[in-house]
Parts: sequence; C-alpha cells; structure tokens
Amino acid sequence: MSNFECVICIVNHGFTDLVMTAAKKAGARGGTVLSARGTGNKEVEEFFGVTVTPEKDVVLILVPQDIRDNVLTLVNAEAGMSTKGMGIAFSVPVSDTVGIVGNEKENNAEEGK
Amino acid sequence: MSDYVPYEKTHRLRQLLFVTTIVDAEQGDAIIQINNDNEAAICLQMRGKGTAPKDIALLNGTSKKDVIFSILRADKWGSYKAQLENRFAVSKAAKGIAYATPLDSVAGVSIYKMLSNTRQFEKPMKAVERKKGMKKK
Repeated sequence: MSNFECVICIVNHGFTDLVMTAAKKAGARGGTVLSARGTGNKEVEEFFGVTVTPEKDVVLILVPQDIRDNVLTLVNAEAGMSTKGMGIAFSVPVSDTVGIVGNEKENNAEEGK
Repeated sequence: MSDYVPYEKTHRLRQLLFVTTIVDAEQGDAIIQINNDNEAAICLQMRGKGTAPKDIALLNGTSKKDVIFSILRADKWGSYKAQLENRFAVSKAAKGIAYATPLDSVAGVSIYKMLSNTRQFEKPMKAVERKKGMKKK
C-alpha cells in the first residue's frame, strides 16, 4: 500500500471552493472536479427535512495518509451537511501512485538514486 | 446437494484495481490507448476541472482535465505504470497523475470474468482436478 489516500467529496454544484479551501488548510495540494447528478430518495429528504439538489460536483483529492483525518474533519466542518455545500466526504485507500512529484523524489531518495 | 464448487476454489482469482488517471484535456485518448495495451476491461473518460488558482492554471496552459477511470488486473499495473511514466515524461502538456484502488468484491463470476478481461476459458487449478479424480475412483 502507498502512503496516499483518495478523498472523495460530493457537494452541491458550485461549492467546490469550500471543499478545496478546507482541504488546502489541512495541507492538500490540489484536486480535480467532476460534474455529477444526485439521485436523492424523496422519502429520506422528507424525513430529514432537506432538499437534495440534483446537480452535484465530485471533488477528488489525493492526500498523504497522515493528513487524511485533518482533511476529512475540515472538509466536513466547512462544506459538510450543515453548510450550503451539503457535502459528504469519504476516503478510499490507494495501493500505488504515478506522477506525484514529491512522492517520486522520496522514492528515489529511498533507493539511493 | 449438487456438485457446485465456487469459482474461487477451482480457478485462480487475480486482484483487480480501479485505476484513476488524471491528465490535461485532449490527452485522454493516449491514456485510453495505454489502458487498451494493458488489457483494461473498462475505460470511462470524463471531462474534469483542476482546482489550481486561475493564474497558475493559465501558466500551465489549461485547467481542463481528462479523467479516465479504468479497471485493470493487478499483474498489469507494473507495465501500465511504466508506460504512464514514459508518457508523462514526453512533455509538460502530457503530465498527469494516476492512482490505483484495490477492488474488494465484484457481483458474480461473469462480472469478474468481464472485468478481469478473461477472454479464454481458464483451466481449473491442478489441485482441484486431482481432488475430483480421487472422488471418481
């Protein structure tokens, strides 16, 4: 396993700045935004008294494992369900990476290149 | 009970990886070609947007990205990674990142066969054949 994790955050359309600001505060370097469409359940919406906006943005952020918890905590605080972004965030483990500049330098240093 | 033997008891299963590759816009086709060379079963190309500030994005040329999701067998990851490293070294515009997430489970044997791109029927493992032979005797 590599020492990276992919943080995936799903927010209402137009609120990716909230996510990236929070993630950068926690030490993330950048992310990629994809457009998506939510398929919220009407009964659940009525029960919780929330409206699920169908237009969503998905933010993919690759972060080192040691800052993952900070990123998730800050993203939840600044773009979570209690904010206008109404975002949910989770992370998935990454087994290997290619093209991460800092990572390659570390690998080369370990291999003595 | 029938003689049903679960697929994983009779055939060697290979780890599958969910690979995400992010490159600048218009570079996606080259990445899909690399995926095809490495027997990826599925390639999904999407248009994304980088989150770098506008001035930095302008310096780099564009903030539009091609995001390619694909499913690869883990034994193909090494050659895919090597080919990607070569591709990313071609020019500044060809740079990108990729990462692999291991898959835990799939919904059935046929889906596994499709995702692992098993084009020809794999022969059962020898141990099971031997066991079956013993039962017949």
